[in-house]
Amino acid sequence: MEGREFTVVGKKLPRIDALAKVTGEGRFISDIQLPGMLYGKVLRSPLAHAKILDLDISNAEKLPGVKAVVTAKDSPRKTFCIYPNLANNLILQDTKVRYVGDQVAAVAAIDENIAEEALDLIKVEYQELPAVFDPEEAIKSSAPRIHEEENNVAAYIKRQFGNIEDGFARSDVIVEGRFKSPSVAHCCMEPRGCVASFDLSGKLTIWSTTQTPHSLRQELAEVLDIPINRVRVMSAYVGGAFGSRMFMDPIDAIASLLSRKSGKPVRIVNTREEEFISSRTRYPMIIELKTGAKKNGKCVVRQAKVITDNGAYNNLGSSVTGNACSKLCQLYSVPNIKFDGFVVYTNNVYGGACRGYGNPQITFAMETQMDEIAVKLGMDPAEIRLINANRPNTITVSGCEITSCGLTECIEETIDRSGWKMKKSKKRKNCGIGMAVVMHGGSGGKFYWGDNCHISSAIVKMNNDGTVDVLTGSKEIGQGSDTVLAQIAAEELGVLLEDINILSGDTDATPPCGGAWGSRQTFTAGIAVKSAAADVRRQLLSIATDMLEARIDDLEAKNGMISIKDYPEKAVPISTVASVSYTHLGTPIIGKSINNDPWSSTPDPVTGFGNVSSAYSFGVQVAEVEVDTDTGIVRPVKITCAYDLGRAINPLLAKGQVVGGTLSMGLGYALTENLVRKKGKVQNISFLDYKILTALDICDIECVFVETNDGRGPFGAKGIGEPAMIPTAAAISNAIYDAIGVRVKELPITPERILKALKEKS
Amino acid sequence: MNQFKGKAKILAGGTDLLVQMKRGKIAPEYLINIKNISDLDRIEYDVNRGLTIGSLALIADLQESYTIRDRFPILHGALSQLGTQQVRNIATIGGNLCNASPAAETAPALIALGASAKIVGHGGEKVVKLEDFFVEPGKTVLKIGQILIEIQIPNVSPDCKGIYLKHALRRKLETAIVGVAVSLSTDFEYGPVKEANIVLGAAAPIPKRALKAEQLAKGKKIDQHLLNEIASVASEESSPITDVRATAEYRREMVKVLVKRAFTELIKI
Amino acid sequence: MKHQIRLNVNGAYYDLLVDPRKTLLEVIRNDIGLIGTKMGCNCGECGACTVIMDGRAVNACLILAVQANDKKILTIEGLASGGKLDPLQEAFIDYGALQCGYCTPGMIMSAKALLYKKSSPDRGEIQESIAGNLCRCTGYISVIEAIEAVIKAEKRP
Repeated sequence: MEGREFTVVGKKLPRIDALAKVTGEGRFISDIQLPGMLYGKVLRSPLAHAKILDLDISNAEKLPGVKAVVTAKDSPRKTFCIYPNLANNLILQDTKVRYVGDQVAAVAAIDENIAEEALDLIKVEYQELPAVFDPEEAIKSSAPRIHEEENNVAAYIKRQFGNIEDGFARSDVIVEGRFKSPSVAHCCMEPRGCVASFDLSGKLTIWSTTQTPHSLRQELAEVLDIPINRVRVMSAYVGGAFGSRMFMDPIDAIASLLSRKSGKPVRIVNTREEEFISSRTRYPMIIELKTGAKKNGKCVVRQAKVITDNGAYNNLGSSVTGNACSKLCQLYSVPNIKFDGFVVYTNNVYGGACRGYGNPQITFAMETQMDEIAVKLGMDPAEIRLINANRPNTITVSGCEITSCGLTECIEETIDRSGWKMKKSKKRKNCGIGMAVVMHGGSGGKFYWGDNCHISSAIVKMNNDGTVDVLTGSKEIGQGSDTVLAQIAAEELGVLLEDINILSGDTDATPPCGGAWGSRQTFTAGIAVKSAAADVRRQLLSIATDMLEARIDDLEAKNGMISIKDYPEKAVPISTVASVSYTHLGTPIIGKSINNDPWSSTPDPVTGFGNVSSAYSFGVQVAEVEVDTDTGIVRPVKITCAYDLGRAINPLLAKGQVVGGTLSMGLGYALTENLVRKKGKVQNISFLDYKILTALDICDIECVFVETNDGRGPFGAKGIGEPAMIPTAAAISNAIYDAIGVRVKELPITPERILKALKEKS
Repeated sequence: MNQFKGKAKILAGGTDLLVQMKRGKIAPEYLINIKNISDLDRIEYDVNRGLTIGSLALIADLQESYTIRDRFPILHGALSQLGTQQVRNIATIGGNLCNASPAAETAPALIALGASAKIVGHGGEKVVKLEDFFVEPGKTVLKIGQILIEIQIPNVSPDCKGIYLKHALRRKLETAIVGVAVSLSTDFEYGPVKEANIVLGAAAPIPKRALKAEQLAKGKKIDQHLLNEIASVASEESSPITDVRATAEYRREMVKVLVKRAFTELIKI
Repeated sequence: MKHQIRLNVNGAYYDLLVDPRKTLLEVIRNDIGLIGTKMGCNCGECGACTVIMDGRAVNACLILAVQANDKKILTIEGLASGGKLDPLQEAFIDYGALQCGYCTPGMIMSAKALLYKKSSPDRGEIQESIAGNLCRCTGYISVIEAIEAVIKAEKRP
């Protein structure tokens, strides 16, 4: 079936939200303005670790214009975390603060200036406690305790597959190294924010920059102690998320509390400084990796010890570390693996999901070592990757079922397109070329608690004029999911894209869905939308059997018509069928579907064995760089990418993911981005000093897709959002080695680190 | 301005001042808008007197001035590397100087050009050499009641060439890690250096001339060996700090690299 | 003490009484109600608030509303005319030059200001003109291509 000609799928169509966004009409969260709305501000801890001895809000409450002040006392004291068993964070702290930026109180006032003034009037008496910021210090028994636990190890993840002693004994070459990755900020262009409004009946309506509306609904219901259907998460455009807006932020709950207390709608939007100080970050990791390979280049063993800076509270630290482990086990199907992961509390801000979810960190280490092994064996780094590449229809040692896999083709494409062989043989001074590959879940996976996380459901409703409403709990955050899902629905129904109206993310109107994370929406929500649309199509065809006097199997829906396959002239417009159904038959045409991701399973908590995702995407990046050995500046010259994404439902948008992921996030992760902290306080709180790249800093990029037509994905598609940025840092690092013969194993690869490495080499 | 007794700040373009206010670093009670003072945005060139720039001249206007591009390329270079287009469209030369950031792009270039600052207000009118204008980070010689109204740049002799190099991680949206302005005059392409101005930005509390390095270059034919020495001496004359952008050690190293590159760009070594 | 100012925004005059501390961005969004101009950093670094003032791209968050008195302001809402999109808007749609769309209005205004100044800027000049508009989604390439397409189309007779 998927071999047929498509009319909507596979076409480079403009985004359906493009018009709203280029005209300024599109309403983002921070554009929501309600009558009587108040402005909320959060009082954040100036100290990294302290006891709260006293909190006096009386003066703030007295300030004219202040309508509500809330502290921990105003909330049911419920800890929150998407893993309930790990929950140890509060929406407002009551006894202790654990990082600079931790929230202790909040104010709602008639304007922002008054709210800020009121914050200054809140008196907090702190007793400063010894703090610890370096996870390697924090893990020691002598370190200050951050929680009431016997040590600062929030989680220990141990995995062993095969036999590593045997693996190393059989290895002809072994490389070892220590890799460090930084804390980085997502830098969504729209700061995180929300508008919360409680009505008199006690129902909360909230507009939030969330990427997981249904999960947020559930989380808010829990921390506010109200039933789920008393919370409505609304839909509006979100100015970027990249993982940082997965799950609830304390401000979502704080704005809700302020609204409940004041009886007015309350808006809280982070300042850019707050974004840098108190928003989620990518988890920094220290990775000690050891890899062994045979003379023929085949990798046989890997051992990793990972220390993850969990920050002050549990969020996704153990899950992200677990995913790093999962990729250690999956990339290249190495038979012998040992992984020890320590997730350690520190007095830094707590991390969260960030495009790649632990994979960029471990891929940087793994792919650097693949290069080192190639060098030791005198092999071409591309060749060693071809030797080890994952193949279709295999099961890895950790139980991951690889179905479609075009990694080999991707490597071959990039070799050809980048001029790899010529550039490797004819070297120019201080110029280099490097390769790195990626394997990542292309369908989300079973990482989380609760059905709302990994399921996707959809309702497709055909109106009596033949137009279609698609209701999906997914979330458009800029990645283009609304467009892709509309294309899927249009293709399946045989109607025009313009006939599709899509409503996503409004939790009162849409059925539950895990939302936008794990590169899952095209695959997981796509399957749900496709089968709900197929349900509608079946209903239409069934009605048309009488009208066309044909059997249902002989009918097809295409280009707005239902016709007999072999006699296309015998046809009836879909709109007529719809009209007949409503007016004559009295049957609404509504299709529904749920995709509960039947092919994947939550890995066994003890052994880690399991097929975490239903599909896996693969890709390769070849980076070319030029290094200024006097200043240490690395200039990327070109990146050539090839990705197996199953099928590109919309090649324009898919390319946008790869190009943007590589240039906007991957390059910065490799070369410039790093949250610098001094005693836990972020030093670079602006775009001047936190360096995401500008339009002058990017390089040429070429991107090609290998379409493997995944057997499970909708029209064969798999996810592409995260894989886009994952291999860039490793590819750049390998290119730097090719250029100047040094390896910098700490990200970002700054000029100072380059010069230091050059000095050590000489 | 005297009437506000230090509670006021002068608003020129506002690109630095407003940010400082928003970040709570300063909280003036009054802002004095001097936009209405006529002629403060003029850019005038006179064959005898050289270039006169009103302190409120916009960076973008200066950058787009053909006179500056052709006759004072060192200044043009610095202006082009200052801020983003949006900022250059509202920022002023006076603001860039009076903000007294050690990293200000225009300062090293102007000092290398031998520019002076005309100050009026309390105590009358005076002209100070721009190299004497800066006192410490964020502070100039301006006293309460005085304003910078004009920058005067003498004509550049035909045998003089100059360049401003800014070193930063990104190509735009950056504070200089180090900025170096060098102007040299030579009789002919391979001839000895008659005059040398070497000015360092972001390498000391204020934009600073590397006088010893200049002395070393003067009157000499520059070869690679001497250039290394000049660069090292300039680096020794710097006193940079370690901050979020770079370490002091790296800055000193970059002074060396940039001084060498500037010379190499200007004359045949 | 509030100040009386007059702004010409997208061809319409607005007589406003504004707090002298308010920025042009706040006044455009809150007093005039044109929310297409976005706030991303409020410090003149991200460019999301870019508008055209007297023909030039500026950060509306770095200008006090009182400084904009009597100036002519063009915002993203003023770009399309008579129901017809500006060629830049068309090209941004066709080239996929936007994802989340938050930087898009500012990006388009910067490009527009460039085209006022130069009829056929080269790629470097295009990059320079939008270097003050940060985008975390697109990697800028599609934006540059969209602007180039407009330049190319306008060159054609």
